[in-house]
Amino acid sequence: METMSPLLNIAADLFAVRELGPWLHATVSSTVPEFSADEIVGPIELALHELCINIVEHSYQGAVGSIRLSGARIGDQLVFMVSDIGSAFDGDLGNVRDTQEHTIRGYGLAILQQLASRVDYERVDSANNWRVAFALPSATTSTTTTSTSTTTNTISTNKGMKQ
Amino acid sequence: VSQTSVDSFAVQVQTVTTITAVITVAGRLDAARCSELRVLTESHTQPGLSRMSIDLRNAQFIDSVGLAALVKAMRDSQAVGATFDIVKPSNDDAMRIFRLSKFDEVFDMRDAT
Repeated sequence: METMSPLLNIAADLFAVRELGPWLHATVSSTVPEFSADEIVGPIELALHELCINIVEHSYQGAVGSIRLSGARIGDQLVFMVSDIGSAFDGDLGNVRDTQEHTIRGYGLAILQQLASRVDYERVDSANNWRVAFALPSATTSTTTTSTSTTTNTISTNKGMKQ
Repeated sequence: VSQTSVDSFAVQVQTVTTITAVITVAGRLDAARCSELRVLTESHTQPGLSRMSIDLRNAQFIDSVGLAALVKAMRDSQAVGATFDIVKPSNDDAMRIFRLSKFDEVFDMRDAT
């Protein structure tokens, strides 16, 4: 990792998730100062916001808890680690809702996957660990889908940062 | 006219007659606050309504839960025989969720005049 961002530890509630935006602006400014935070934070904020909302609603299900985030530049990507100690994610990242199916709820993880270059999930002991990577605007390199163990759920797409 | 406003979020019934409801949304339409929009739209989707319009030109951010509230408003409006339209957000961050979900092709969306 080239440059680590300060950690963000937020309560697992819907209002606390709003702290993501200011933290992301600071994180982007410190880790990739050659890019304008105003230009690249928008899609990252929406993606991580959707993940955190999913954690609040499905991992903690209204219980008291916290969500921990960190970010770093790794090569030509911005990589964020998002962790919680709620219930295990029981979905299938490879089979989230098709966003062309116009139903009311269930878009959160589909939006996350559309915006990120790669999303990995792993349950370790009592923790849920998400790794979400975003290609920096000038990077359009491909990644390869891998699933390293039965507790790791990975989806990978080949694209640069989506606006 | 009813209005709620806490932090940067505000939902206001701008115009309401027996046949038309125009509701403006400013700030962040997200999981934390979208219930207020849901309550307003539900209270105005009564038989006899002919049109509901949600003005999002001043919305700064919309998430999937906010989008769901808009979809419900559209379905409730259609259920009472009313048309439903949306004034597009001027902020690209607020417009993003419509493009990604393809709901920009489902809603009747128009630019702010």
